[in-house]
Amino acid sequence: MINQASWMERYSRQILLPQIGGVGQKKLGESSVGLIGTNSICQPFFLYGVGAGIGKWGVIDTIKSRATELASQANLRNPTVEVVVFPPNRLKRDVESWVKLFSIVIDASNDTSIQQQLASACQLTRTPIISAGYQGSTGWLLQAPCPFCLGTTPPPPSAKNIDTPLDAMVPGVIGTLLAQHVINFLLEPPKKLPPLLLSFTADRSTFLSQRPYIDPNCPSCHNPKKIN
Amino acid sequence: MNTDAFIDITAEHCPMTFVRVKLKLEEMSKGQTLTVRLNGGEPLKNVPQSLKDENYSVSKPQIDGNCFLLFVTKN
Repeated sequence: MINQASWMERYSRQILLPQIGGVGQKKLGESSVGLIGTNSICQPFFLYGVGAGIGKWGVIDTIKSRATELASQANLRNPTVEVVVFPPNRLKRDVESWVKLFSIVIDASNDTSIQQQLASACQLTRTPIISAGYQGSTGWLLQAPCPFCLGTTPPPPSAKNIDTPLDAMVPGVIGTLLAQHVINFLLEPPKKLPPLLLSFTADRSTFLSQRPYIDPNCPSCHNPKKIN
Repeated sequence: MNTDAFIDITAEHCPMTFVRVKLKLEEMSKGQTLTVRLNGGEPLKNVPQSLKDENYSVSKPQIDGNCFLLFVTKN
């Protein structure tokens, strides 16, 4: 537990910002994020989020040691936040009770079965969820109940991403954008998350903001059911 | 002058001078007035300006011994 003087000292620069202040900083501290994945999007997202003072984190990866490694970076960045690493099978046991632990869930798993489980669970529990991914020179974040009713966008989960220095910039941009987007959400949570698809194309240096198509007959969005 | 709260920031340095005043004002209600005791120099130059930038009403500083007093009203 951080004392008041240390809290003020650590977050003084953010408290000075009109859009945050002391009230907003406390909101961030009381907020929690469930993060699925540890890829190149998650790393900048996690480090900026931890640095900003989002107070509680739950991290899951299919390989637990990756999640543990990411969590250990939080201690270096901001030891006042709490990070819990969950075992990979936690989502298979009871995904609904897991998503309910958090103010918002971030899915960067790039795994269709996990995405589908999360979409249904978040819809049933009314937990906000944002998905993020990248393929080649394009990255995106999707703020919608599920990624399955979108038709042509975003690109489907891809074959393995090639980690060249140029490709590494795309997840870096998306992870940073995601951190700011989640901080904005936690500071002023809307009653309902409006559908939004933000995409970034590196080789054209362009951002695109779209309202994604929501399929009224999508089984995940409009007829959620327990998948387990 | 009767005010609703008092804070002494003479032991603080930038940016904690304004941080402490801002946090105190966030706890107060609209229309209430905070008395701020501060040093001359940098705090006297920057704290009132930062408060005005955030739409607080700030009085002219009054001399208080070696320090100054500001009266800040939350709008």
